[in-house]
Amino acid sequence: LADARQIEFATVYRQAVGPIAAFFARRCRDPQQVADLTSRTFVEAIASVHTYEGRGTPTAWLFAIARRVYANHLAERAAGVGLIDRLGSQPDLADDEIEDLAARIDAQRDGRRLLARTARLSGLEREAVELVDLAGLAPKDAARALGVSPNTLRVRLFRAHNRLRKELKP
Amino acid sequence: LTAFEDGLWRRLVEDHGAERVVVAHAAPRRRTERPLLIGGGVTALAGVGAGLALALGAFASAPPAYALTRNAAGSITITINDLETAAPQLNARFAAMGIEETVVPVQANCPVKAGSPDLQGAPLLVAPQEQRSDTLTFYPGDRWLAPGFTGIIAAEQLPDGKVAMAIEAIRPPVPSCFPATAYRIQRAGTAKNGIPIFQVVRAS
Repeated sequence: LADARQIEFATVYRQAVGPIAAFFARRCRDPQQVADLTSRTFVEAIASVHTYEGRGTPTAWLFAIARRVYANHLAERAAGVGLIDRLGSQPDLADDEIEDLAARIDAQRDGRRLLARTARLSGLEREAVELVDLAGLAPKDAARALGVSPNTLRVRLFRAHNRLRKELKP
Repeated sequence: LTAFEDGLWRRLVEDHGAERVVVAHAAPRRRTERPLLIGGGVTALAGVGAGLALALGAFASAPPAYALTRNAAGSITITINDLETAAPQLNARFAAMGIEETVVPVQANCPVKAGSPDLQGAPLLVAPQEQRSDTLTFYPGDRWLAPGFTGIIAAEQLPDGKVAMAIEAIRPPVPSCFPATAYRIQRAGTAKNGIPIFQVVRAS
């Protein structure tokens, strides 16, 4: 019988794929890149599924992986010189998938504006605002994804909201 | 699900067995549990009965020995978690797919002598290091190989459980393994997408 403590990955995928794709759509304007990073997040999740310990929701766990995937992507891009055509890394997309992703990237316009406003905040505050206010994670799940305590997250989020309110005042 | 979400799920199912994966809220798993063999074992067992399926479910969150994706543009993506199991299965699958690549394990006790084949100076294109499993995407076929050469993927199971992979072309015959102690690898630059290039140097 199915263990009550177990969830099918399909369920986790359905819950998280939209927010994870949106996470990358706020960072990349290229549909292929959004697809690649989203795909890498879920492939990495499958490969490391045994490391999920049940603390925090699976979505929070996936966001932690997505952050790591994006950090790796930036490091790879920063180091990128030269071309060796035998290697590649991107999935190939159907036309309707590209259209879908282009629409998602467009839909994240407001999210990108909000992130731009958080440029003066610390990295942790920026990510707290994004995961809670844009991705819709509960603060305790955002804390889990960011690897900090729930109290730290709440304090940083409070500060971030205060600073953003002040900046928005006429 | 949208077009992209549907498409991605289909790829995850076809290439990584995602429909069989379970996310467990349980305590850390016992070390005696065996990894799920996605390449041959489980595929062959598919559909033999609900009882067995339920039994397999208990192991479903263990990582597969390997995963292989054939991308639409012709590139191949492989991920190896358990090299000993994956290498023969992947090589059989490459052969069945007509892919001229051979996974060659790098082993400390490999009886092949250094210099046979001589990899001195050969560039190795090493897969980007992910958290646990390493993934390599490459384009198979003669187009990428010089005349008289065949493709090899050198793979080493590291002490921390990760599998490091590197791709190269050598003149046949392909050895059954590479001796880990005969060569050392040094960083030689960076390839497409920031993938680090390493160079093989004979150990002194």
